[in-house]
Amino acid sequence: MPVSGLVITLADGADLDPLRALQPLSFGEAVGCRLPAVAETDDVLSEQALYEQIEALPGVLQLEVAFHDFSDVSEVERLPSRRRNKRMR
Amino acid sequence: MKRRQVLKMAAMAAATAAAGTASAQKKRSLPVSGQGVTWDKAPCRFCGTGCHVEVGVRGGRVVSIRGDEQAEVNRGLLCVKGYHVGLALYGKDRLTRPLLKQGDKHVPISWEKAVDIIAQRIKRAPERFAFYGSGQWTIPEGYAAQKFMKGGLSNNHIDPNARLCMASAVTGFISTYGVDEPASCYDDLDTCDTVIFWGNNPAEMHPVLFSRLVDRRGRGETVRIIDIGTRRTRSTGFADHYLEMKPQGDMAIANGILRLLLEDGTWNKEFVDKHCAFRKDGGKSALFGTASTFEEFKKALEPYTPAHVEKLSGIRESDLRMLARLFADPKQRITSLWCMGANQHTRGTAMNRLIHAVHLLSGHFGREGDGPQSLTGQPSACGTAREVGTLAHALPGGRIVAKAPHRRQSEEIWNVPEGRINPKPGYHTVKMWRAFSTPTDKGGDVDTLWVQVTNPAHTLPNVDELFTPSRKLDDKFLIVSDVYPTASTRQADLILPSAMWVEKNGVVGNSERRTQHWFKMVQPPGEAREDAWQVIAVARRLHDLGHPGMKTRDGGFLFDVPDANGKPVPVWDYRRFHDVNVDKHLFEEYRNFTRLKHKDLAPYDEYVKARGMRWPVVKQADGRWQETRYRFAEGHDPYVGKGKGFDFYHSTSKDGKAQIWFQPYVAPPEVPDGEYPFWLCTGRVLEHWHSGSMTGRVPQLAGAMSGAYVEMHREDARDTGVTTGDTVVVQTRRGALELPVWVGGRGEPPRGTLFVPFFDETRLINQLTLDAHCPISKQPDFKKCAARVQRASSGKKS
Repeated sequence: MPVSGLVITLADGADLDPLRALQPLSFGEAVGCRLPAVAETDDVLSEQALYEQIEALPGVLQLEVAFHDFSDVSEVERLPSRRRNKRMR
Repeated sequence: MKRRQVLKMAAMAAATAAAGTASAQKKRSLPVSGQGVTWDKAPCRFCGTGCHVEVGVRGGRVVSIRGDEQAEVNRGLLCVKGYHVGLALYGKDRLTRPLLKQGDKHVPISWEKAVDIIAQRIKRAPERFAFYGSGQWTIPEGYAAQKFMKGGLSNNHIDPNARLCMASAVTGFISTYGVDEPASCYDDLDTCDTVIFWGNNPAEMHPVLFSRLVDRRGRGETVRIIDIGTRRTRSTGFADHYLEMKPQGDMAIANGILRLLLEDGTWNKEFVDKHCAFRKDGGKSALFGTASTFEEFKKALEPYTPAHVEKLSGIRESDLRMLARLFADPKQRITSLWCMGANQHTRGTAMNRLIHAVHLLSGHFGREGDGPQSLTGQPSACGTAREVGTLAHALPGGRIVAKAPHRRQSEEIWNVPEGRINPKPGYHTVKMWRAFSTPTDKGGDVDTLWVQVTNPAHTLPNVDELFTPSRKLDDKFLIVSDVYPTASTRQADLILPSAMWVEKNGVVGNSERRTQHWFKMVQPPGEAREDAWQVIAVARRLHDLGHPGMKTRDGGFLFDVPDANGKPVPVWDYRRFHDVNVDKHLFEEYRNFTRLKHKDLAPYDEYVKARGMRWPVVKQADGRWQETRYRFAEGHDPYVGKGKGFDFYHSTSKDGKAQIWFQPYVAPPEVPDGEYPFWLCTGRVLEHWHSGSMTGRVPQLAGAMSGAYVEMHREDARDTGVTTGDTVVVQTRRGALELPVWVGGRGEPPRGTLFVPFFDETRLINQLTLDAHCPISKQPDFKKCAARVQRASSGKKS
C-alpha cells in the first residue's frame, strides 16, 4: 500500500468540496495556492486513477509529488502485453 | 505508533514543506534516518531539468522518494516521472547477465567472454568501430568513452543521441557567443514578466520548471505566457496568447520581430553598439559564417513585413506586432524557452541563432528574468554530450579534433603520445548508422557498433533505413549496454547488463550549467555493471592484446587509477572496481579540460556537499567555491571585468561581441501535397521519458499512457470517417503504421496536422520520420514531414 505526499496547486476561488470528497486523500493546511495532501491507496495502480481524478477536477491547476513510499511494493508488476502493430511498407 | 501512521505523517510533512518551500524557498536538511531507512541525495534520472530527489533505502532497496527541498531547481517538488524514479529500478525484466546472440536466441555468457569478444572485434579493425552514447551517460562515463575512442583508438566515430536533440542548440550558441550553453538560468522563471515558448511544451516536458510560473500566478503575480506552436498542448491552456504557426513558421516570426524592431527604431542601440556584431552565411565556415554590417542586416530583413510573415508563418500581423512591442519595451523582462521544436529542425542552427538575435537586438539579455534559455531533454545532455564533448568532432571542454592546439592539450592531459588524436572528425549520428547499415562492399565502413544508455532502434529517424538493414548483414556486430530489454537489445548481437542511477556513482550536468553529484546507494541486480567499468574493462583487454593505443606515453595503462599511495588499482577487474572511487578519478582528470572555455568546475568533493553548482565555479579568496548564475554579465560572471557591463569573451569576432545573425526563412524539405496532404509531428508525453524503456516499467505511468496514438483534428477525423478509438493507417514516403485515433485529447492539432508520440516501441513512429537534417548541426527534423491518413481496412476499435 503506497503512501504519497502530494502538492495540489489550485486556482483562485477553487471549490475544495469535490477534492475533499475523494476518499483516499487527507489534507494539510494550504500554503497560498498550494494544498498539501496525503494519498494512501491499495496498490500502485490505483494511485493512477486517483491522480487522474484530482487533475480532472475544476480549479486544479497542477498536481505534483513531494513524497512516495513504496516499501511494501515487492516488485513492479509485469506490464500487460501490447499488441504489436502491423508494419507496412 | 504504527509504521503506516509514521509514513503518512512523513508524507504530509514533506508535502507541507514542499508547498511552503516552493513558495518561500526555505532550506531544510535531509530527513533524519529512521524506521531503518537511510537517506541520501541524487538528481532525478530522467529529464534535463535536474531536479534533486532524496532517496530512502532500506534493506538494500530503494523504498522511498521525496523531493529535495534544499535543491534550488525543484524545491521539494517532483513531477509524475520523477516521483516514480525509484520504481524504475525494479521492473521484473531487468537485464542481469551478458547475453550473446546464437541463432535466434540470446544465451548467457560470462563478462570475461563478453569483454573479450568486444576487444577482439575492435582489435581486428579499430577504424571500423563506432561508439554511440547519449546525454544519459554520466560525466565520468562519457569521459571514459571519449578518452577510450579519441585518446586510445585514435578513432573519432563517437556520437551521442544528443545529436538528435541538442546539436542545433550547440551550434546556435557557439556561432552566436563563441562558446556553448546558456548564459542565463532557471532563476529567470521567478522574475520574468513574460515567458515565450518557441515550439516548447514545458507543462508536459519540464513540468517542475513550469510549476514555478503557475506558483507565481497563484501568489497573485502577473506572468504573461505566450505559446508559439504548431498545435495546442497542455502549456497552451495556461497561455495568455497562443500563436499557432505553420511548421517552420518560427523562422519567419523571428525575422518579422527583428524587422519591426528596426523599422520602429525600438531596438536597443546602446546594447547593440557596445556588445554585438552582425553575421551572415558565407565564407569558409558554415558554423561561423562571415562578418556583416548593420546596413546589410537591415536590408536583408526588408522582405519580412508583417504581411509576408503572416503568409509564411500563419500568425496574424497583430500578433507579430504584439511580440515586437514586448521586445521593444526595455522594462519588460522576457524569458524565451525552447527545446526540440527549435532544435529538431532542418534549419535548427538558424532557428537557434534567430532566438538569440531577437534577444540581442532588443537588449533583453543578461538581466534576471531577461534572456534566452534553451532547455535540454536528457539529464546530462549538457554535462556529458556538450561539456565532455562526446560528439564526433569534439574533444573535452569545448575543444575540437580539427584544431592542432586542442589535440595537443588533450594529448597532454591524457598523457598519450603527440599525434595520437585523429584530426578528422568522425561520423555524426545519421552518418554513423548509415555506414553501419550499408554493406561493407558498398562502402559501409562501420562494422562494430557499441551502444550505451540509449535505444537507437527506437529513436533514430527513418529507422528502417538507418538501423534495420544492419541486422541483416552478417559482418555487422551490434553491442548494446542497457538496463532493460529494448527494441535495440532485442536486435543486438551482444547485450551487456548495466547498472542504473543510484546503483552506481554519478555526476551529471543539467540545462542551466548545474553540475550535480550522487553516490551509489544500492547494488545493481545480478551481474549488471557500471558503463564506465565496461569501457575500462574492454580497454584493458585491448591493452593485454597489445593494442598500442591503450598505453600512455610512459607505458602505463590509459585508465590507470591510483590508490591513496599512488599505486595503480586494477579497476578493470570488477572485484577491485570499488576499491577506489573511479568516478572521482575520472572527474578530476576531466576538470583539467574545463578552464579553456571558462567552464570551470569545482573539485569533486565540493559537489558531494552541494545540490549542484552552475559553472564557471571559481574559488574565492576565502576558499569558497562560487557558482555563476549569469554568464558574460558583470557582477555575476567572474571573467567579466569591472566596468564592462557585458563581455562575450569567446567572441568569434574577437572583439568581445556576440553575433546577431541574419538567417533567411527556408521552407521545410518535405511539405504536404496532394499525395501526402497532412503534416506529421512527433514528440514526447508527460508520462514517458523518451523511448519509455524505464517509465514503461512503472505501472502507473504505463497505465496512464499505455500506447501511442495519433492526435487528429475533429474535422479531419470526420472527413476520414473515424473517431476516437478507431484505427487508422498513417503513412509517409518512408513507411506506414496503424494507430488508434485520439480526437480532442491532451493536444489539439490544427486542421491538416497529425501528432504521434514516439515512446511506444510497439508502434514505432520513427519508421515514418524524415532523416533530413540541419546542414550545420546534423540534427534531424522529427517535427515535420508529409503524411497521409486513412481508416484501417479492419476499421476496428483499438
